[in-house]
Amino acid sequence: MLFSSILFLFRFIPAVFLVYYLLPFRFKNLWLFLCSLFFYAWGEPKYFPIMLSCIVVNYLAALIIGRLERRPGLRRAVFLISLVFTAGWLLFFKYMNFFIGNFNAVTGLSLPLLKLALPLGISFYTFQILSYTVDVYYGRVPAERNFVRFGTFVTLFPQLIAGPIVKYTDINEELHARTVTPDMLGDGVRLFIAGLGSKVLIANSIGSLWDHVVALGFQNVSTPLCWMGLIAFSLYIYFDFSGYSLMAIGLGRAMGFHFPQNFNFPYISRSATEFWRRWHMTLGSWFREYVYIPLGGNRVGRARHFFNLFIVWFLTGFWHGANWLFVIWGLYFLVLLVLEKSFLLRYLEKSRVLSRIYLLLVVVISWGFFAIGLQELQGAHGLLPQLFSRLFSWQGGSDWVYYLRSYGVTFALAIFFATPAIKRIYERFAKMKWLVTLGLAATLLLSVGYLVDASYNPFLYFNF
Amino acid sequence: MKERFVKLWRACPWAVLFAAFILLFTALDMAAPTRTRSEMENRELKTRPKLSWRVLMDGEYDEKFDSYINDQFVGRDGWITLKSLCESLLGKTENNGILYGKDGYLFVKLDTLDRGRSEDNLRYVREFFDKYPELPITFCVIPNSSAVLTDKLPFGVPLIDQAAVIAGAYDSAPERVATLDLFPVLSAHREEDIYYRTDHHWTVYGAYLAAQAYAQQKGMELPPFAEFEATARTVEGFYGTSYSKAKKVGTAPDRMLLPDIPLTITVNGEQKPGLYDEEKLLTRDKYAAYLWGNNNFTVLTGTNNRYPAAGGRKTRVLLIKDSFANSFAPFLTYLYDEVDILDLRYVNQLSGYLDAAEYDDILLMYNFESLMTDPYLATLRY
Repeated sequence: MLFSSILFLFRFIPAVFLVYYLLPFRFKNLWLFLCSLFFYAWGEPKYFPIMLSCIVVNYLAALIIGRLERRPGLRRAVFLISLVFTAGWLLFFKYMNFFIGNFNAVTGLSLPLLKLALPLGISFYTFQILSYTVDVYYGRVPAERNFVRFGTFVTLFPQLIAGPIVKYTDINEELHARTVTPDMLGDGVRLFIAGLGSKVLIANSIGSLWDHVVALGFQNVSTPLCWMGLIAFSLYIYFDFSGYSLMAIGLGRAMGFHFPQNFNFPYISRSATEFWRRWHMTLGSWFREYVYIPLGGNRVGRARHFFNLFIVWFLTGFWHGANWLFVIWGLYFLVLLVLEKSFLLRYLEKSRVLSRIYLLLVVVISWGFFAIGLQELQGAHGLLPQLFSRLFSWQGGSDWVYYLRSYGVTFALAIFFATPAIKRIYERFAKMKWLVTLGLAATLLLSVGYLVDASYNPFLYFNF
Repeated sequence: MKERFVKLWRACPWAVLFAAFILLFTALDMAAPTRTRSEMENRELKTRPKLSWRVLMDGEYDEKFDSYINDQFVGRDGWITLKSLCESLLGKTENNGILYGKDGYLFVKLDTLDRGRSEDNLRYVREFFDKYPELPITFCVIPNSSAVLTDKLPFGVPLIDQAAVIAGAYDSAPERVATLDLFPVLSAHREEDIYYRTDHHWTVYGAYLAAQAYAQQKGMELPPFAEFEATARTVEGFYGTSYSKAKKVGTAPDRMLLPDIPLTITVNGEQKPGLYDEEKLLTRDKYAAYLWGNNNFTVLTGTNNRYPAAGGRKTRVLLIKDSFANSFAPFLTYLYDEVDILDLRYVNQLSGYLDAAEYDDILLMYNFESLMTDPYLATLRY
């Protein structure tokens, strides 16, 4: 079930929230847990047991780890078993065919690929569970005794399938006690509608242009249209992803949770370094906290530091999909970060305009790898050279005129909404509640209209 | 309770309105009766899917239920109009794969080909030619409106070069197969109403022009169109398939012409009361009135034939076709005693029909789009 669907808006939301608000607090977590399980099983009945097994194993492992203070060997063993078990499902389902394919390519064998579908949201919930068990192991947080509470944390439907990646320590206190103030409810509704509009009105509208260009074939389009397609994808992935995160944060807020912010206007960054502080922030902080720092971070020798960075960016890329292009995409940013750190940042800081042009250019190009990676996951191949040769060797034509006319206003609106100008406007008029109400009502009504006549409403995170 | 509500209303009125909106529409939607058909969109709507263990486990139920809720959502037509209105305000010149052309023309946006399917279909056509080397076959591909009315297209829109693809298909046909190029005659009349504005089909006039071109290629001649026009009925308010997809606000309807051609029509062995399915004229799907829609085997007979064969022998033509030919076929009764019409979508074996009867001519006639996409052309081989 997508958040951006009539089914979610007009069946799931009213049923879940009505009961949720009526129940006394001690039943609220149980109700959320049950609703979340239903939400998950509805879309992914086959792999439902896998998620349940992860919950049970980590629940028990954390309890045992908590009681084995005096037996470090055994404690470590239990920790590693739960780690391997949890990460194992992810490795198996998401990466097994990738490994087999590469093994075949290297050895010349032809081992058969497995017929596997990726369990919904596995990349997100695995990371959330791991954060819990690791934190318990390192003694940063006590083990959760209440199974319902722990299950609620893992399955919490707003963030279960597409993030943000909520660490246990982000919400463990709210799992025990939380209230919803009128302002929180207002924020929740406002963020949810803003996210819905981002996804339905902007992302879906502009994303179809990229799909058009792919369908036309890169060889058959002009260079300007090819760039328009890739810029459309860049806007699409931002509004799709950040819109989904906003909806999640809004839904959480309306139930008393404060999920961490996930996007902070990444496209106004002035360097790749800054971009990654503003893009998918919860993923970046997860890797920093649970991979980079445990490996020693930057408090090690030069070679080891570089190795640590390499691992983090390799995994960051790889997390997005089992394809070398995602790895290349991650390492591409590692190269940029190293270049910026060694000399480029000094120059970038001097100009407010040139630095932004630089950032947009390198990020849009990076989406070329990413977008083709998504195409390859769906079985396409050989598209990358076609895309880049069309981008960088000029081919004229008038096809772009039509698409500029058709998508020009959408582009302008999307670019405007990708800047903090929209935030400043909101803050300026936030006191005029009826104006805010009017804007939200228009967004909601239009979103419903676009959902009812949906011809294009993709769900990107099936691949993650 | 009341106090908290007032507080919420003061702090964030939108939250209260949002809750009211969601609850109201949920209730209205659940109370609304199920519709099985949308006149506006001219299609069947999804109804509640059957729940079974297999469907549930495959994850299909999720999708099916989702589209059921979507199709049945209360006020569906109004929501669709809202979207279409907004798209127009955004300056979009297309919606759901339909291009907004000049003078109210809606065009199917044919910008990509499913390469596998289109190559397969062209191969089936060639295999058909090779399978019946002794038959007098004419092959005719009808260009779609966007390829003829090119001056009505939005500027720069990249579309498939239909003329080139059709020429290629004609070139690869064997010498003995006659080909009928409709571009010259249709282009010459492009300023007249040869295609519908809101539908992907051609008008009766467009069909007549093609029939006349076919006749002339065979050394024959149809009566002038004015004769048909004089006795024809007109039906107003036709909103065709392109409109049903685009749902463009402010689209003017088309007018349909129903020439009064005296003949007997037999559909799958059953004689029909007239050339047109009158009931269909009262629905959205008015084009289906021509030739009683698409049926597997239709026979037209009458006394119109202007070229009777010597010795009283009955002349016959076999028309293998898609829906474009439904308004075209009656004109053939002026050239032959009997017109047999086959729609491959509903026929398992073609050879049975070809072996059973002797035909003076065989006309294989498809519009470009269905020639490229129709999954039933494989039947040509059987």
